[in-house]
Amino acid sequence: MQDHSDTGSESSSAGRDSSEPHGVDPGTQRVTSLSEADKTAVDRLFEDGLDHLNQADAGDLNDRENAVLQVLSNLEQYPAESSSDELVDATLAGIDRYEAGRENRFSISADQGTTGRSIRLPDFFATAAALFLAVGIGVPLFESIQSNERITMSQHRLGTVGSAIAGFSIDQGGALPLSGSEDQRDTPLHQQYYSKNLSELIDGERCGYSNLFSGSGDNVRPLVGYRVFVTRKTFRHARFSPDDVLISDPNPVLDSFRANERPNGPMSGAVTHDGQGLVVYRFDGSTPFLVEPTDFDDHQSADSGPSRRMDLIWVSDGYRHGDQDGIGWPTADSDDVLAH
Amino acid sequence: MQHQDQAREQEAAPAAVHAGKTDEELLVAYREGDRVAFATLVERYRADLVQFLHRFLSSRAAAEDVFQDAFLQVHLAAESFDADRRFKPWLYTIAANKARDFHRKRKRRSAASLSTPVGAADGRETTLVDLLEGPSEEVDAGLLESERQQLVKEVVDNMPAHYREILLLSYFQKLSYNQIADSLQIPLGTVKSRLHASVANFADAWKTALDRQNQRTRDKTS
Repeated sequence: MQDHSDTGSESSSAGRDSSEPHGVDPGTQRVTSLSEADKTAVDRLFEDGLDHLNQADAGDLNDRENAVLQVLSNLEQYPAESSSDELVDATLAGIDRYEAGRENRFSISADQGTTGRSIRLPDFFATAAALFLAVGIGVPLFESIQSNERITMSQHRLGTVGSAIAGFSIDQGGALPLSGSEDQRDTPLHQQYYSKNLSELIDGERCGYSNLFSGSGDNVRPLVGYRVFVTRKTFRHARFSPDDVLISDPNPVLDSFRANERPNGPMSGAVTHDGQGLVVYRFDGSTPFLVEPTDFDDHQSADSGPSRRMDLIWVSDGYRHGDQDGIGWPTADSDDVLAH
Repeated sequence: MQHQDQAREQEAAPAAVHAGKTDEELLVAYREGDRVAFATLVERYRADLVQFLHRFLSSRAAAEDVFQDAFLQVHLAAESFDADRRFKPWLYTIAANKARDFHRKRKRRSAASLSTPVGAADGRETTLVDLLEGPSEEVDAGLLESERQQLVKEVVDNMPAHYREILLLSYFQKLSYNQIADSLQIPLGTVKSRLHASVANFADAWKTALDRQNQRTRDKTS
């Protein structure tokens, strides 16, 4: 439970209206608080409930605890009248009335449903129009809401991880996290989980496992694409500009290679968004949703017609669509390759 | 009138059948259709809860209205009650919420902000032992019962609602800090600090009231 005790150092005058005369001395506008010893006495008496004080304990009370009880015993003089016996009946009757009202509301609609009227043409058209509206507007609207929800979730996840990386970098004198092995560049990106480089964030409790991965064991699935380093030495915060991309939704080109399929057709977005765009996190902390992250260019291949050049978010410069060997590692810091 | 009829039919039964049952068992029984169990619960809390609400709302009529509202809410939310938890804090959570709603509607006094930072640098400390000594003590001893009741009512009714609420829950309902935190849905640390503030507020206001009473008495005699 979150502790808000810092707001409660005993009494206040600020922000109170003048109809609250006690605890504030109207002459001096000073506030009243208990001494530390009295606070301790109050805690000892009430922390476990006043019932906790049995007869044996009562003899052990110190002066301050007795003083607290003596002052508060005046509360018992509050002229609170006992309630009448009828209150129980009135309470039960109130509940019955409420339930009867509720049943009536239901029974009215039930009656209407059993009148056995024949269907009239206007009713039919009205129903048809309602269905048309539901299908024509409701379904796309629902899909749009779902899509926006996915974008928001991505932005939240990337924002959390991005902040964690920023915190890590500050603590490490500007270095970005690289938890993976030294020789990871010897393995093609689609044959390893590159985002394991971020595992230091989990170990250091900077972000949760669920921000980076879903599932576990053989079913683990990385959720965040992370910028691929060129050399460990140069992989530092200061070398990148605010517009450069640091992390993103998973890279769909990698997913295609992992599924032993060559990327087929335009790769316009992450699987997370049904292939319809992706969220990226830039070094400046922004999390835009890019609808068209894939570039098409008119480079001609000698034998197979127009080729597609993937956006450099997905693949390193020089990658050609016909490559069979997956995505190569970037060779220049300017390559914005993101892998997961 | 199902509740009433069934409760009356088994008028003699509830005390015997349900006397040994805990509140939680009664609510579970009610969920399973035992309406007499619910009547027993209402009866069990009638005195305590109404008195709590009366002190909180400064009005018996209001207290009885809120009492009924609270048990209607218990009826509506019975299915969602987790039987592993205590019923009493849950009931007082509902009742306190209803009472606060009532306060807001009534708008007799503007509500104090619970997030107001407290504890000014120039704040003075109240020592309860000191409060019990001095001229106020003599006035205290000389008060008639009716005068004392009136003074206590004035002091309590003028306390900020959130101070009054926590003081009543801890002193009269004897709830522990954890139970109060559950009931009011506030952090444990806030329970402590608010209760400290509430005791200080009451003690100071009580002393002020006694001093005022002393002054009145002196004015009369002179």
